[in-house]
Amino acid sequence: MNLISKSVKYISGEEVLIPFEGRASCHIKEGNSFKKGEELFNIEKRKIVETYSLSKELEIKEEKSKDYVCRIEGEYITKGEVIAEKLVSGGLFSKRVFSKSEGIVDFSRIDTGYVDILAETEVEVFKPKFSGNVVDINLGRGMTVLSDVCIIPLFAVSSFNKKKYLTSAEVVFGEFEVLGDAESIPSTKNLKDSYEDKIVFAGRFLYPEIISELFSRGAKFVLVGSMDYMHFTDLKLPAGLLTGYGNICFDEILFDVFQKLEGNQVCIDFNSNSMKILVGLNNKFSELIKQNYFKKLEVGDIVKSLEIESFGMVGKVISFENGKEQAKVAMQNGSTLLISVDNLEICQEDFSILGFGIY
Amino acid sequence: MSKLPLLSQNAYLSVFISQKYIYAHLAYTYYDTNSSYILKDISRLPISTRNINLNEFWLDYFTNLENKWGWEILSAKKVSSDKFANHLKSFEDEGVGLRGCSFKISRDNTNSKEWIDSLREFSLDLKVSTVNKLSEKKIFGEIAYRLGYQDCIFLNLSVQSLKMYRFEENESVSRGIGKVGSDVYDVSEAIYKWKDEEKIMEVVKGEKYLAFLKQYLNENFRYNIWANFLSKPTLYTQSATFKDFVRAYLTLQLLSISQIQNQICSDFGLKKPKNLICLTGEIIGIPEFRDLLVSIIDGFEIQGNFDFYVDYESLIYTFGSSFSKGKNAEDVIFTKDNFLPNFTKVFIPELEIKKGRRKLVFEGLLKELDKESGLNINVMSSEFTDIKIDKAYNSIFEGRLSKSAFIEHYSKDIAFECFAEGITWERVVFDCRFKPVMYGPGPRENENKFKSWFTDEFN
Repeated sequence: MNLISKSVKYISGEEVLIPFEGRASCHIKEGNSFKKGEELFNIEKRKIVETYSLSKELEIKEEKSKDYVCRIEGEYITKGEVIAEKLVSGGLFSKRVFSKSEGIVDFSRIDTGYVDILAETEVEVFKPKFSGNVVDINLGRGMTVLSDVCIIPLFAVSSFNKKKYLTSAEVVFGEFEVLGDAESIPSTKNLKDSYEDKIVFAGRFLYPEIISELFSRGAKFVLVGSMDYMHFTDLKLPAGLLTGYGNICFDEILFDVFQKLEGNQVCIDFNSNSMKILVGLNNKFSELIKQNYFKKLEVGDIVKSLEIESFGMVGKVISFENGKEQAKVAMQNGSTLLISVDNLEICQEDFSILGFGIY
Repeated sequence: MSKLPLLSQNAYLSVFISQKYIYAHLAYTYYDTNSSYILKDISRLPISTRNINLNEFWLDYFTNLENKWGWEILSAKKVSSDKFANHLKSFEDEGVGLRGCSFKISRDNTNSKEWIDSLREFSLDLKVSTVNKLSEKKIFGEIAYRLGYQDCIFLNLSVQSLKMYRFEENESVSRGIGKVGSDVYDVSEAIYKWKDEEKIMEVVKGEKYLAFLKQYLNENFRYNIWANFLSKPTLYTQSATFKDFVRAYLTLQLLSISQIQNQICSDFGLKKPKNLICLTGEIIGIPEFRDLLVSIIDGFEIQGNFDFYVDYESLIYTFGSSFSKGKNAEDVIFTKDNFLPNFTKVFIPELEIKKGRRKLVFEGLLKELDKESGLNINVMSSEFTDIKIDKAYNSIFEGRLSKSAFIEHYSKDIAFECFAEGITWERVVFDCRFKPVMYGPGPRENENKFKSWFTDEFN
């Protein structure tokens, strides 16, 4: 029997933590329900004005960055002042990183090679783009809300230091942004100036340089279809893979879902290694969705290959061969492959029922 | 006198949950009509039990099994939206009901506790137990005893673990009534578990690994395919590249283990006349059969003779215990021919031939019982000869080793019926490569070596 694999799974009533990334004051109490767009809490935080990658500019290892800074944490810096310096040629010359703006020096990302210049404290109002109930408020941790979610499992998560990098070791919460398309590999030329507070899907395949660039522009987490194993395991930035290792075609159906969900609030849950798209409470759906786990493979089924040379590719079963031991699969990239039935997972997604409405 | 229920019509379902798969076997026996068969299913387990309603999961699993096999298994299903009362349907006839159902859950499964709890909650009719080192030793020992072997190696090869048990007959203890496997064998074991993915990745990173490959694969490609496989393994593959990849991995792992624990496989095949290697596990279906055998011979540097069988479907875990108990089994009574897969006879003679010379090692005949002539078999030194037996039930294999070859505890004359005492001999293998077998230094040299070793003359 073939296991049904859901790239998008609808779960009713899931508790999700929205971490407080600064000093919070709440407008709602525990147990209360809220509507889409209602103000839930204020957060006092400093926005990032500028980010400098010391590892890139001084050509040093990320973990050595703190050895080259000339400022102290929280110091006020003006335009043109030196942030970091490295002596070269036996001290005859020096490479320096100058501040292009004024603000507070922040070393919270120094272990990953970044120094941020922060603006004055601003108050931001958090408005959810979904409805739900407040389950718990913990000023040191965040607000736990109850909402229906679409869960997208992550194939792998990079081994970055969660404690040093994130305000919450459990989740990253942010707005979902889709970069580029499912086919091409994005380049730095096509990037926007800022991805602040965004969880970015950056395409089917990436080199680590682009991820680094997205972080220097404020991204909180980068999702990518596939990457080479060596690059991914060396990556010290928060990133997740969706399909697998290598340069693998991305599922067009999932990409359509991503495009339709762009701008919604999502969270990356490190306990379950998944992305949760918050879609609001809606009791009707839980009754409509029947959770099947196994199925006999049939012509017309959408499948994902686990065969090593077509790993992660998605296609449609068009016929069976060799006494139903193998299936002929028309892949999304136009090729037709003969794959052992045992090496196929059936894709049965729950998103169609949503109609892409967020409640 | 009325018959015992197990000897009349009987149907029993046994399920084994390994690290990544569920193996289900429904055994139907009706000895009056000489009818018996095993319905089989292997399904992949979800990676995590998180966000899964396990009651619904099991209901869906059984419903799908019922549909696949056309066999009614459950009598009561969902009674309300969140309540289940599941009972096994009592056995009535072929296709309807069971006399029992048991689940064996491997302790190597990371979610074993969740599976056990969920099954106990799903139905009180299910017999749930775990498979650990002790139970494995017991099952393997009993099987070795029932098959009458004197020296046996049971190997369970999975990606994350390698388990090896050797059962050597203790000559001071005689077989007899009331004796069980554990009484007559001295047992030794070697168990390796790699929980950390990085450790498993390390194996294919090293130069040492490259020395075992037949095809050159660049570093990036090697890591990518191996990491993908570790995350979502398969039982079989069509990829020749990956078959070779796993063969090289197994050879290297087995060789490392035999070097660390050299006593565990020392002199296997040479000490006793009746030897067996039984192979099971999740990774054994990936390499070609012949390559798998070569991995084991070279990994353990085996000489002499042994019988070999591969349990691709983990039957040893589902019904191995019942088989070993024979007519005393409490669930199903199995005979050798309705339980055991086909066997291979392996001869690895010692050669008194100058290295590199091609000389006749064995001359023989594979023929049908009632005929005088058949297939002439000539086995040459430096080759790995694999002879496939098509009509085993009616064939005989006979021949003689040449002057320059001998096998410890074996006469020069080799003769056996290809179907005897419930065992079917599907292949005979003569490994007459010069020992020790040297791999490397690189893939190209290995490819040439494999080409020169294998002869497809008798396949």
